[in-house]
Amino acid sequence: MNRFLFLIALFFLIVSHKSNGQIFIGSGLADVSEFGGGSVLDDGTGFTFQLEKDLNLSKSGRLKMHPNINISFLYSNVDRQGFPNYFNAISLSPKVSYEIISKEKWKVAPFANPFTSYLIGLESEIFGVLSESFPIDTFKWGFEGGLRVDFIVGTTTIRLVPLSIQSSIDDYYAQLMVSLLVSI
Amino acid sequence: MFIKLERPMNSCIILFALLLCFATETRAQVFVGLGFSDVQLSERALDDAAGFSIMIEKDVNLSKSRRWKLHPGVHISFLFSDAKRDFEPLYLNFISVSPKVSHFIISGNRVKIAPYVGPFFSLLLGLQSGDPAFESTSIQQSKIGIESGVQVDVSLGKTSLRIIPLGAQIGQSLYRQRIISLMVSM
Repeated sequence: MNRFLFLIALFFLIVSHKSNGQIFIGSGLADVSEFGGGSVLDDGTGFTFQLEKDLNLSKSGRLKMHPNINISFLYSNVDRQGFPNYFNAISLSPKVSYEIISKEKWKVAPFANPFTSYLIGLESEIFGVLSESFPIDTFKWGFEGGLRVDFIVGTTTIRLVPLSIQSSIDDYYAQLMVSLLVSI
Repeated sequence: MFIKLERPMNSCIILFALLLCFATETRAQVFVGLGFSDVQLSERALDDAAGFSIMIEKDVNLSKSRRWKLHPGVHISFLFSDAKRDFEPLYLNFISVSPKVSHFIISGNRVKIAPYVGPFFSLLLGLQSGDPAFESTSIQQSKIGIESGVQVDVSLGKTSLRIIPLGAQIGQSLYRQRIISLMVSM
């Protein structure tokens, strides 16, 4: 936990280093699957909140890095009768994208990068007539890939991420996301 | 509760509509940061929780002297302090949106001090787990109220730091929150 907070602080400091990049803020839908426990009971859906900043890596402006923080609120299982759970996935990723189509009004770019994710929450289980709760407190890391489409509307830019997939290497964790961001 | 949160899409649309409000002025400073927060939900001490929070806010000038500023901001808290206890463990988030208005009473070159005040709207999402005698209950509520505090801006060359040594949210039905946070400009 404290180590992850330190990571977030470090991330913000890195993001604040270069001050002329565009900043995007947005929200979307997320779906987390965790097959490690051997059941679909650990799956969760919910919404996400995202913040990212664009940094140019090349002079042509086609290769870009987008340090991104993504907070998912996975509350689809909060109301069910057996095994309710509620958790957040806070993930940090330095997305690297290359614009394969770079028109004046719209841009399309795939991205790929590593990510680290911290899952925090609460889970209830029932044994016979007794129920017991466990805190969710785990750390995941792996690789992320996806596609972004930017639309330039006057002075603001709208960024649509139709699909982004985070997949862990050492265990069966995956997060699928659809999101829409605006520049601020 | 006056907003249905059963479907993720609803919350997502509400959040996105609020975020669109940020996108009006493009040349303003954006601050991001981390903090600690402490929440009181009702008169029961069992409903108190503490945790860390992530804050994002934008500065918009309201006056030509740059003393009056508007800071539309999002503040997300992860209140995990009660997740590990044996009796009625609780984990909750809240996402609060507030347009704070501040007035700089001390406006030096390096240090600026401003009290702020503004309304807030927040969504609480969480789970309170059951014990043998109690059932699990989900927490899905919205709160409105007034937020206030003091902010100290310290400029260090290109970047500037914003310290909120003490902020408070006071809402309906005994809802209180105390905030301490440190932000950097992006």
